Amino acid sequence: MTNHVTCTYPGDREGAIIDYLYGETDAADRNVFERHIVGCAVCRAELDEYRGVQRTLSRWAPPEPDRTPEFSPLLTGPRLAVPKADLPASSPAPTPRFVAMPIWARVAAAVLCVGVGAGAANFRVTYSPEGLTMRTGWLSDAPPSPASSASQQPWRTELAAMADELRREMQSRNTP
Amino acid sequence: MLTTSTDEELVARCIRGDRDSFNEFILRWERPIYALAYRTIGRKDDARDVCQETFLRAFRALPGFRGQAKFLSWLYRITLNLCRDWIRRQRRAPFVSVPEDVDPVELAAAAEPSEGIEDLVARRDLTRIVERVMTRLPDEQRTAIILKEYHGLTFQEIADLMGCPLSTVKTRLYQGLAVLRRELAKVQDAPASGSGPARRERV
Ligand SMILES: [Zn+2]
Repeated sequence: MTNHVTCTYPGDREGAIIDYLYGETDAADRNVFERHIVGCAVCRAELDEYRGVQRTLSRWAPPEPDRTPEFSPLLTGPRLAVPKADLPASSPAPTPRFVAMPIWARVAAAVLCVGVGAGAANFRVTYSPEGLTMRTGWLSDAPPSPASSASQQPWRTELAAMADELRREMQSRNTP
Repeated sequence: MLTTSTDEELVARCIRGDRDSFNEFILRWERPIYALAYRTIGRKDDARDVCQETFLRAFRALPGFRGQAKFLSWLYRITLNLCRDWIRRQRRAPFVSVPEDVDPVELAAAAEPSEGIEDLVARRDLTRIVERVMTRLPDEQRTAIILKEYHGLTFQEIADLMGCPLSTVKTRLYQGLAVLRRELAKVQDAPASGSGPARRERV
């Protein structure tokens, strides 16, 4: 048996239902619609169904991302160096120069960019087994040189190159 | 020790180049960003990449952030742009043959362990059922629903983020909910006729 009752709400019915469902409506509009649904089985039923949809939606939790614990301060974990040839054609193309760097190194590089962008001077980035450190005021020191292990991990070379590049850029800004 | 600072304070410290603040920055926003990316594109690894790329772009663009929007909305915009790029690349990718009428997001969801929706229903695996059903929404409806249901943005915030009028946001939400209601009803009605021995015959 089909129900032939129809809704006679005079205004924007869809908008009113959405406003009411999400509680984003002022008191006056809310009252108007509340009075309407008291007498309208169609709207009541529809609202009930959407609330059911909302309950079901609330069960959708994204899976935990895979993490590698070594660089835990940055929870995202490192992006491992992947030879270009192994990248599937469908993989997203991040900023090309960062492609093979782990995330913390990419963030470090981005921090450097922020430093440059904000006009802050004299960042020093060093990498050691303890991890990455960044300090200010390194212009008096010798520039960090790419470690001997650079060849094993291409992103280190990239990071070092980027640090050099940024250092040059900052120096040129600071010595007008 | 992480002190609870406001988003604005944290952003200001990041702009000054404070390293600890960058960690706090990521800790604070990683989960919502990852969740937004995952629910939008449906693939764990790609969502993580989008998440990382969001932070990179955010860090580099920070000096230009002038408090014109709620900071999280500003981050979400970066994430959604990256997701849109990802989806476009999937649609264009020359080496993966995707039939024209198949959505890459739907394909991605289906490609992770290939299980029929009947199996998900039989196991009452609601998380995967929702995931699958969400892929049937057009992009704009899906994004609106995600931002509203999972991130609690206001209609106005969603309108600003999606660059559309407020009324369009409501229409997208309404239509999205209507599609979900219909699709979930189909799925949830399935086990009644599909459980027991008869179900096996269909496989
Ligand atoms: Zn009504």
